[in-house]
Amino acid sequence: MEIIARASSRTSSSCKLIITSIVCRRIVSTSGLHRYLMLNLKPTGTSRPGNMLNNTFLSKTTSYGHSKVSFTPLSTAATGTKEHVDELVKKNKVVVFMKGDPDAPRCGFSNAVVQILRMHGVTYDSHNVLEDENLRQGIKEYSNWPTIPQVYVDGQFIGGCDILLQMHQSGEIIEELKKAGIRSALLDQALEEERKNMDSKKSE
Amino acid sequence: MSEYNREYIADKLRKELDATYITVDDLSDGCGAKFQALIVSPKFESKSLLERHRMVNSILAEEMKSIHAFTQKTLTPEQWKKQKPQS
Repeated sequence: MEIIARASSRTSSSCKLIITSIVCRRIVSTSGLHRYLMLNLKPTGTSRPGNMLNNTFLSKTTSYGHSKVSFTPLSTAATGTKEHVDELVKKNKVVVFMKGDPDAPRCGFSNAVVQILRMHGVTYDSHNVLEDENLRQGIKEYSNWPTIPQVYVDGQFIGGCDILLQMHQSGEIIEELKKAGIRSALLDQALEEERKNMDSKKSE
Repeated sequence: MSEYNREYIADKLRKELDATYITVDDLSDGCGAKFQALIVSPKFESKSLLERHRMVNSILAEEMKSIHAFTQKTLTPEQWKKQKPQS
């Protein structure tokens, strides 16, 4: 593009990168672009930090409905060790080790756990073992349990998908959550309906 | 592909747990990678869900290394009687 050619002859190489990354077919007034460049070039001799390639200002934040934790391992400790897992299971009342993330489970069993917890309105920390092979192996040794997903409540291993499902069906899970001080949303729902039923019966 | 098939798994569990009723399905279409088991055994009496599952896991500890996925339902004979459709 004409603009790029002209500009690049006058500017430093770092600016060339920026200019060539401008893919626009609109007509940008060269004087305007030039003025902008000069404004920044003159005082600093280089482009503004935010405009440099690979800048770290724009941090990618992935926010999930449930507090997804992408952990940064301790600088000295390796991941998947007993100490590391000890730490992880204490960080939140409910901690889940699964394949994938709550928003995108990569396995039917992991998904089942996510759905059950969602139904009860539980917020939890989730760790994707597919992202860390050490953790994937370490968590199995930690709990002496061979499969993923694994659910921990108050630092205690509760079980995997089967157990959680059975507990959900039997209602046992509500008790387990209550012990940890978590109130199940499903329980509230059921109580609400019960109340409505009783009210309507009274009015009959 | 693991070398275990459902008969092998069922037999082993039946023997170790004195199971009164046991079904093992291979959900991986014969690949031996994904099993679903229903086990009814008096040995599960007065044991929590987790304990029961751990019992099964320890019996199959060696096999687990090559099995990719394992789903299990563990019931006592009492629970099974209540659950299954009355014949």
